[in-house]
Amino acid sequence: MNIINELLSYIIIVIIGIILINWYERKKGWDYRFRTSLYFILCWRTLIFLILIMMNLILDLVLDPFSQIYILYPIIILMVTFIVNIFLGVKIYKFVYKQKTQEFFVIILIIVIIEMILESFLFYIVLIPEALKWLYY
Amino acid sequence: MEVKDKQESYLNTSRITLARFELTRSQTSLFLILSLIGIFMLPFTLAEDVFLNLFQFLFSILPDYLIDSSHRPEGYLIFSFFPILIRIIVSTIFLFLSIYVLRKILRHKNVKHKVKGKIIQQNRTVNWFGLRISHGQSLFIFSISLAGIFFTIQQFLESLLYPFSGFGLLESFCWIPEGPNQTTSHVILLNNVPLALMATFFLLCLYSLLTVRRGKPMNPSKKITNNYGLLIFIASLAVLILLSARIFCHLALFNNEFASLLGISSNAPNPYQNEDFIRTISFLCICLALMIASFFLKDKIYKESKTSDDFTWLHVKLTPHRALILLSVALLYIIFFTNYYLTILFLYGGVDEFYVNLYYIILIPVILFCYYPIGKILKNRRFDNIIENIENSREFKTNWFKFHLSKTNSIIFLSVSIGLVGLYIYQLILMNTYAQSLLQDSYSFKAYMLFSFPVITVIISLLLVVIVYTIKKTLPSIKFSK
Repeated sequence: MNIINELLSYIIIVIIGIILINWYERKKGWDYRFRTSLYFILCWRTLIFLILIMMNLILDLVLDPFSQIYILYPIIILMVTFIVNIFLGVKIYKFVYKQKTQEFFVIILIIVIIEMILESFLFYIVLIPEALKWLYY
Repeated sequence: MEVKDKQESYLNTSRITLARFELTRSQTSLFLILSLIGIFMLPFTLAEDVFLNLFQFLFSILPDYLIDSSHRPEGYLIFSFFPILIRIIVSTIFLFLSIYVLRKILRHKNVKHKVKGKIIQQNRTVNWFGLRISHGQSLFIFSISLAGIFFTIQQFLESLLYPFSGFGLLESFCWIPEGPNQTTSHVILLNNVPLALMATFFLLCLYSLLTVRRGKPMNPSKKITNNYGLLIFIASLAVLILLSARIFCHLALFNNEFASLLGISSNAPNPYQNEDFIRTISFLCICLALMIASFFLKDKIYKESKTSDDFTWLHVKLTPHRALILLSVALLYIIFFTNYYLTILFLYGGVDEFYVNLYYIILIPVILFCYYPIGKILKNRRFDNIIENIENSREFKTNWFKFHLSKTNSIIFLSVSIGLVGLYIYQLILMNTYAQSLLQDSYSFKAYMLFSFPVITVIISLLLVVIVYTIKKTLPSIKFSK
């Protein structure tokens, strides 16, 4: 886990998330304060950020990279970054907005997918220069 | 006005035909689910084959060979290149088939042409290996046989063009135990038995493909084989053929007369071989018993189905919408896991490795778990009722790219997309893990990977964008559903 990457991803997702949520609120004609949407996105993203850091630390301690259990690594990541992520998003949304989640589910899904894609590209931005070292040295 | 009404009623009652098979609304929905799964999943398979395997050949294997070919065996390049090419061709064919089916189903109402040739009508029964099956079941056999033909040809060409692989499922049936951790076989058997097995499966699929097109008019008083019976028969038949090959290998290696006929020096029978022979015969008898039992698993042609009110899955009440979503997701995952399982099974066969054994243990219950809702929903014409209920409920229409979607089709698009989101997020994580392990290792690292992995990530991202667009467009179809 690269902590700078994770922090960068966290900040970008908070900014994208707040824009998307505000757009959705305007579309729906809701008159919630900007603070409400900020609370929602900050609560959700911070919780996921902390869970991710804890999970990575635990996995690094428990799983040996050459262990055969390493096959479970992508499945554990999927459970946390996708299923728990969406579940918590929906729960916090219900708690903050007290509205039906059916339509907002798409916004949560979009934010989660953007996060996953962004993390992949940030991952390659770090990995490719590292790999290029092998090429030159 | 009157003419317009007549035309509309004709178009509504006119049924879709696929490969001349007349389809009901529920069968059309099933084919739509299958085609959508193909359209969304095959681009990724193609991308993997092109950007990982083909690029590996072009930018790693080929340059290495051109620099120093002295240590490589004859035909090394062909053996490395053709399996990739075959996989790309097969995936492309299935992708085109999926697009063809999708266009045919979604554009059906706008097309005003008569189907050329003879239509295979709904109200008929087919005699397939002595089993009396319905039109819907014959469609299932047709689809399975078509997939089986492609799979067999692919396996045949791969084994022919890549003879170094070995230890495949078919070859593992030729290895007979001779002692503790000791097996024996003969080159004649290893070369010919897998070939004979593939030819048998190919011929069976071809026979099925042709037989299911012929049928007799339906007689309501006569019973037909039920879905479980049909599945048991297919599985037992496949295992029976494989076990027959193993018995043949036993006889060829340990029976003097057989061995001399084949020109093999026979081995002396031993307790390990005897034990294996008895075990094989026992399994063969079980398969035969199951095949015979499947002849007695029958249902009436018109059986009253349960209403959706008393229809549950794992204690969850299944409304028509939920049932359709569950069916689509279960079909998606059963295809994904079965394909994965068969690939591992045919590739590694009886190899006693941790990963292979882990897959064998995990994947079978997963496949059965996926089959459970499918079997439940398709049982007793429940699916027909589900589609009818959805069609009769609140009207909903939407556009997806240039296609107009009805309510049922929208729910199908939505459910397949929801299932695919999880799958593609998993593929994204898997690809990143794979990239990390290869790019950080100086021995496995190759320059082309710096391009391949990001490109595959871009393709997965594009597919995810299309999936989210589909969800956004079709989500209102389940709004206010009761």
